[in-house]
Amino acid sequence: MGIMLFSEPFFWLLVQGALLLSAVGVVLLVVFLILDIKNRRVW
Amino acid sequence: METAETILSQSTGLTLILVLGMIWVILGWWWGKKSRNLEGFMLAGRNVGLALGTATALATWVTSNTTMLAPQFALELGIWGMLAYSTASFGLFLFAPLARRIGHLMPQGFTSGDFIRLRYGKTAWYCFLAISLFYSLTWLISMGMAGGIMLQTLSGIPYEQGMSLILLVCVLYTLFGGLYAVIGTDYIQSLIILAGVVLVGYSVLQVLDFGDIYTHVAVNRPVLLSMLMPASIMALFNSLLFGMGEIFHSNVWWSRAFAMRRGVGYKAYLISGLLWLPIPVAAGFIAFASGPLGINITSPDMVGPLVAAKILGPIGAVMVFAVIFCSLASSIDSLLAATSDLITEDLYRKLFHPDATEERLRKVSALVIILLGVTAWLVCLPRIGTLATVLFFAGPMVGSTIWPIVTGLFWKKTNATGVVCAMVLGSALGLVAYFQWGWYTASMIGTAVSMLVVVVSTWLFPGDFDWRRLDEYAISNIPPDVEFETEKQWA
Repeated sequence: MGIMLFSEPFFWLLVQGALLLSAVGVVLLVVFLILDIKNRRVW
Repeated sequence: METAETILSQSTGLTLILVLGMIWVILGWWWGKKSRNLEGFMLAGRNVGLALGTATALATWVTSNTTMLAPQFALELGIWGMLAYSTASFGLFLFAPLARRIGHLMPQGFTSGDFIRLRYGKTAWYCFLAISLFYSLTWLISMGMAGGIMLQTLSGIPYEQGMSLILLVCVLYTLFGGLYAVIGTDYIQSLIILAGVVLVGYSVLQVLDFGDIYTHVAVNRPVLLSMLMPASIMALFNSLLFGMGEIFHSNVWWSRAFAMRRGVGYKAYLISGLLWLPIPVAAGFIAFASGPLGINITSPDMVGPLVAAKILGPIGAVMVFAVIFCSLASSIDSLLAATSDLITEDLYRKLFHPDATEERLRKVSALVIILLGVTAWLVCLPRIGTLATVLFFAGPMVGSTIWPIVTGLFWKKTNATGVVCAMVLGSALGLVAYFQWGWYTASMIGTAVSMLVVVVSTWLFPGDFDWRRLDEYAISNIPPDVEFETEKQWA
């Protein structure tokens, strides 16, 4: 009996999702900093 | 000496370390000017906003293991390996409500030791300090060693030089700027780490067809795509529990909870968990590209850097080096600062010199940072290869503190004796499991025993803790004849 494999679309979605979320992370951190600077709430 | 597999020359590696190191030291010194008192130095003035709060939690939890080991996990344990690694982010998610509770109950708190001392008394405090200091020191030393080994692997810089340089840079900027420097540099480091991971990942997808990568793995190593891989599923639980135990007990995370401005802690830990979650997958999947690219992997931990260097050339190599250097520095600086706080506040001040002035404590804190750096350097120097074993050894001890902390923050009935028994029995039986069955069972047994003891002792001998006792500095200004209010009035 063969082993059950994760499908290619699932793997593609997983990788794309991870890369996209990491890219969003960079944007979010920059946006948060701009907002904090604007509101004088950096530290 | 340059080995065949290094991705950078020694001189480029050294130049990068010196340039990045100088930037961190100058920024640390610059930001350190803000810390005019002990609270500023130890807790960045308790005013850290969402951007820096999120970034510091993210960068600290991204260790060199995350960026170097994630591709190795993918190469050896497949898709499940990457997913298992991602569950370490649950510690950050689950700490979010704890951070809110900590900020609410202890607005003037300094360390995780403060909480245990005020909540459970001195015996539990001694047990906790022994566990926490042992773990912090082991982690610090293991990071120093990892730094030396990785810099040598990536660029051929001799182990002693690389390890000494990274420790020196981190000690210097933590010394100059305290938590301001640590949190400020963490922000830049987290941007470099995230941007580096994204850039390398997308570059791999630009060069190779995704279908080709999948087919190559499915044909040559189908087990990596298997939906049922028991070893990886075991790794999932281990990673999850390790993440929780480490984050819940360590002063690294508590000091950030104290440092964040009111209302920020919950959001910052939640968002940092969300941003950490994809990193093991984004950094790990590139290992699958090694086959189609025809890279000969002789040492699995080099798969990530080798793929990046092959795809992006020298720029990729520099990028990977910078990402790994930032991952190392962001964890070492946090450990130096948080462990120094624990030693200064809990040992020096609370145990031996309760009347020490702020100026004196600031000096002691600086001295402790230097001593920690020197100790780590001395232990790292002989390059003991078995430190990972010691770190796993600490697993059950750390696991045994999860329940005393969680229940101590939310249940007023949890009692001190039960908690001491939970920490001692959890650690002891966890260590027995470590020797009898193996490291992978130790944390689970330690945590389970501790949970059982805490729950049963709370049920059999319920305490009646007054939450107001946790706000030590407010309490010291209340006349002794005033009675404490009950939980309902304070919850």
